[in-house]
Amino acid sequence: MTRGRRGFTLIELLIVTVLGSLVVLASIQVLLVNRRVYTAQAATISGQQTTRMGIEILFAELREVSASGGDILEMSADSLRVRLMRKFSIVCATDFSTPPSVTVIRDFLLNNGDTLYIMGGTNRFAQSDSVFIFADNRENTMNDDVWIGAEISLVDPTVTCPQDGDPALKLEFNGQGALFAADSVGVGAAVRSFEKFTFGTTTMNGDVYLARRDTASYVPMTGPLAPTDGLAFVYRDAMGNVTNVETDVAQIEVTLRTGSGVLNSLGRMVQDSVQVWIHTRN
Amino acid sequence: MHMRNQRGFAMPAAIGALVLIGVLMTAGFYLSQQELRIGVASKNANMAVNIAQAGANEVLGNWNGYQLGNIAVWSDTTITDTIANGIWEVSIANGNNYVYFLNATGTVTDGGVRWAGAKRTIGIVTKMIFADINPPAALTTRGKTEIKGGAIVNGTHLTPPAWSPYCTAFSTSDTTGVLTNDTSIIGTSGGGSVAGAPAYDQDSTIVDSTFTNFGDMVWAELTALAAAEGKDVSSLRPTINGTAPDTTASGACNEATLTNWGDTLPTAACGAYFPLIYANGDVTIQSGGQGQGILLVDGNLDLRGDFLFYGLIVVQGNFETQGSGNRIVGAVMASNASVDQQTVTGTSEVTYSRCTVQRAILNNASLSRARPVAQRSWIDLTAVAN
Repeated sequence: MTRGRRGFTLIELLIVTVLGSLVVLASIQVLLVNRRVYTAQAATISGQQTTRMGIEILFAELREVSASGGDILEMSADSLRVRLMRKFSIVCATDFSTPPSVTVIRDFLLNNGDTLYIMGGTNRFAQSDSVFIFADNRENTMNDDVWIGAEISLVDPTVTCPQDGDPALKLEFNGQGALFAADSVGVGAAVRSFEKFTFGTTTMNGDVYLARRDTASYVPMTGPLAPTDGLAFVYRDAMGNVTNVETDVAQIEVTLRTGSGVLNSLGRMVQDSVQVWIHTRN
Repeated sequence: MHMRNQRGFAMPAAIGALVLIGVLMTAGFYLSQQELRIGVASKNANMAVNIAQAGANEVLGNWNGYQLGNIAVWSDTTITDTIANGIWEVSIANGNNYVYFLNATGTVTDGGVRWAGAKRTIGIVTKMIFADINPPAALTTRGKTEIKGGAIVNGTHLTPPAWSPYCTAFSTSDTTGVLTNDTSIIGTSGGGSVAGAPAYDQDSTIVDSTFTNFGDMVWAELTALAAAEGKDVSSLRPTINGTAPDTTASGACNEATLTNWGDTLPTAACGAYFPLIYANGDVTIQSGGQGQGILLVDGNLDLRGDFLFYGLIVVQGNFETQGSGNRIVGAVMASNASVDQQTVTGTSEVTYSRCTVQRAILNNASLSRARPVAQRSWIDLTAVAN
């Protein structure tokens, strides 16, 4: 007896092959489109992250700048050199014999039980730190107040504040007695350390990055930026007018542009840009 | 007829494609979610800074000398408020009575459990700007002045009992007992005495304006401020009896009461209340009582006994005392424009205290304001602390 076994006919195979090919081609097409969209989206997101990070870095760094206090050292359309405020504390004792010194609190225990970690972590004053110390001078006027610039020659971490016995740091300023001769630094005065940095761009592996340097080479921070106009600064005074006088700057207009080799679905280069006005707080 | 399983590859290919598409879409959604989270976190971080700034601005803009002026040196107090998108908490630390440090934390509550919680802290170094009122002696006056009975005018500085924590930053230097335009007309008799460094001194530059011009402020401005504060007590003239602290039902200081001139005990409800008080003519204060702040009298002032006052008294007419127990700790400036004879008698005492005068100024919201110091007042403490 012959069993009812049948193979595919040629027609069936051809139909299946054609249909299968159509499905595979359609799938490949969908995958290709998806990949292109995904790549473009990834480039867009990357650009947004770059601009956001760059703006947040610049915003955090520049908003404490005091233009009237001389913190803007050099400024141009694509770079900016400034004094950046870093550490902070409050004077709890002074000694203006030789060498002059101020004792500053490490952390401040508030009456509500919270601790004001003004020098928590590793962010403590150290030898060779450049600092500004507030001199109140006459109590009932601000006209004669100054910030005395000095450099810490020695830090003694074994001292305490006389008011409450809390741990403190004694900052000595050896050989700098003349700085303290004319102005009055008292208990309650603020002390701030600072560093000098330049913000600009640098090229690495052919890409342009937002970068920062002290006296050495630029260190990239975020990017890549657009090759030609990735970073731009415009300086404005309190009235919003463009100024080229460092001490008049009240607002810094920052523009960051990113660029990539990726094309979007319309065949255009994926790019992004952000512009912010940083109003200096000091 | 039995058919064997017939397998093609179209279905697996389609399923594979669908899985791949699904994976890509999931990855896309995940990336979008991450991007959203990063964006919201960034926005909320900035919002937290702005909330902290709003708190600091609120405290600075409405600097309450009565409340904040009573923070002991090297101590602090905290004020909290809830606003549209979050909560701010501002701790005000007293550095030296002139320089205060504001530590403001903003917390975002907007967005529910998923998005809320961003917190940032800023610091602001502030300085008090205040009226320049500096009485040069325990009693500054003109004309013939008799100190007699058991009365004493003393230029030796005194920090009142229980005031030490609030006085550490002020000068404790002694000053002149009686400063006048002509010391030859200062007399003591009986048990009356004058002490100080020196006890008497003469200043020929004492004129009318000595008693009306105080730095940038003049008499009319001071009296207007007193009226604005609600402490024009002219309606109580000519005799004011028994000034005393007054509290509301909730125990708060009742500043609306005309005879409430504060409490000389710093920890009491009215202990931080230092009013600017004005009377537009002659005043007799009797039946005891107490007060603190700055008392401005546009006429003669006569203290009839058991009146305790911490701060500054400025009298455009004569300053006289009688009876027992009158005690002024601070300073008295009596113009005595008509150069009548003034008599400080009874067991009255006028003792110089720089602290009481300075607190009367710094704790008064009309006479003092806190302002951020120039150039480097603003600090991102979130960044500093880490």
